Amino acid sequence: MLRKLGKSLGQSRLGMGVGAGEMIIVDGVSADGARVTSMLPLRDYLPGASSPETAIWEPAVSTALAQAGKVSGTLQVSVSDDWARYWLVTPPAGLGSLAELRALAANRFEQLFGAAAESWHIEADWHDDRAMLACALPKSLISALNEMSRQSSCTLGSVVPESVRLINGDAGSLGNDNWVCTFGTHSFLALLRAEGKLLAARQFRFDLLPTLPEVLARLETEALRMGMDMPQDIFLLGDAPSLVELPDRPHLRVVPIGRQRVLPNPIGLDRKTDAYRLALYGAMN
Amino acid sequence: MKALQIDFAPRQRWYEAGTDKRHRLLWAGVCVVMLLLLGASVATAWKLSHERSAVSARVTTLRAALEAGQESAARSDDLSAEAAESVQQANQHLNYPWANMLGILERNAQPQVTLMSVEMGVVRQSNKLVIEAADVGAALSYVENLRKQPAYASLMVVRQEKTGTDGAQGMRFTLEAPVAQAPEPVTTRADAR
Repeated sequence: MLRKLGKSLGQSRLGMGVGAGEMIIVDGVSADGARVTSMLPLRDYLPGASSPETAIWEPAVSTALAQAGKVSGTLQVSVSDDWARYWLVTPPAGLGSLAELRALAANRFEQLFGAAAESWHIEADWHDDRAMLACALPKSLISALNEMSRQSSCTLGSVVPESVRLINGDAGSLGNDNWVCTFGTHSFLALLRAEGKLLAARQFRFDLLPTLPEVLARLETEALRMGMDMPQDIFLLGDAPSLVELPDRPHLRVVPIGRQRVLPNPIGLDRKTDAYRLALYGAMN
Repeated sequence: MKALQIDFAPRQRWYEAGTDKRHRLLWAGVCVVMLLLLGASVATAWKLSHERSAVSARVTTLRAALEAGQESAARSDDLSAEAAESVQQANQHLNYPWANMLGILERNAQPQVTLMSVEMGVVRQSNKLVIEAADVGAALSYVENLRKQPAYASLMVVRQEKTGTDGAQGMRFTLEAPVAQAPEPVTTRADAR
């Protein structure tokens, strides 16, 4: 009993990465590397994986946990932006309650993405006095994680999408007037900020990682569409394009964040996949 | 830039950190044990407080008694033993029934015997009489008469000397009687009259 009590009081930190095509659990990071206890290809365990709305996550989540064996601790889940939707919510004047704001965010989600909000779990950096970033993850994924947490000895510590993990990991290094771009496997999220206020949020999809000039062109187009001036600073987070192709733009300052960080080598995995990187975000941060 | 507060994990209270029934039962057990320990602590504290009050009251009582005893001892220590004895002797001297003694001597006066002095020895606790008599027989008769009185029952002749250097006959006797027992009041002639 005392051993169980000690385990429940001093739980270890587990990282789960839900990538675009696989799911990985990392149990502990040491100088030798990160111990991968579970690696699951989603194409075999995720029925309806062609769309986030139709994907059924319970088999994949339970199998990944079963693969990990008898692990216990606080599970920090990071979800690839492939499964996430981002948008901007601007609260109107005279807002009455958080429920009203949630309804407004859900309505905006349906307008932007043409999907029923019932299939998505919507969260935002809730404020009633300024525009905020909202995010949606498939409701079945959240339900499967909650169910897994109830039935196992793992506690669900956090479920955070990739871009939010990246931004929160380096929030102190980011200024207040800039573009902040977070790069995932098949998309990048661009946030336009001025004087600390969020002005625009756009998620750009891609099959091949765009070059830096392509990224800048998209950002300039977006700023032009918004009727905003292009900010001088552009912060790049995640697997951003190489700066070798940086065009001659003296008025722009492109700052890669976190590129110099070296991820620990995986133990039990032959390569560093996007799911592994996501799992490390949770296990290390 | 401030960190984004976006998290899809349900907010968990600390006692819900354990996610399965075993953990919740464990936490419930921990809570029960903590409550029992808390109750025991409160009971012990109450008991100790009660005992402390009793001990405190006892200490107060004993301290008051001690102070009273010290005051009494201080009062008794104010008078030294010598002073107390002197006071006692003076008190005894003052309270001595002189009238009774003089009444006895007056009633036993004899023509052939002259009472020269009566002296009360403070230290020796004795009553000293000095008489002059024409001869030894008269003196002894005087002594025998006095010895019939309880206060002079132990009267003794302690000194005898001849007086009169001009050829006249006369003897001086010094008599002494202990005064442990004071003469009882007797009816004097004046009272009889």
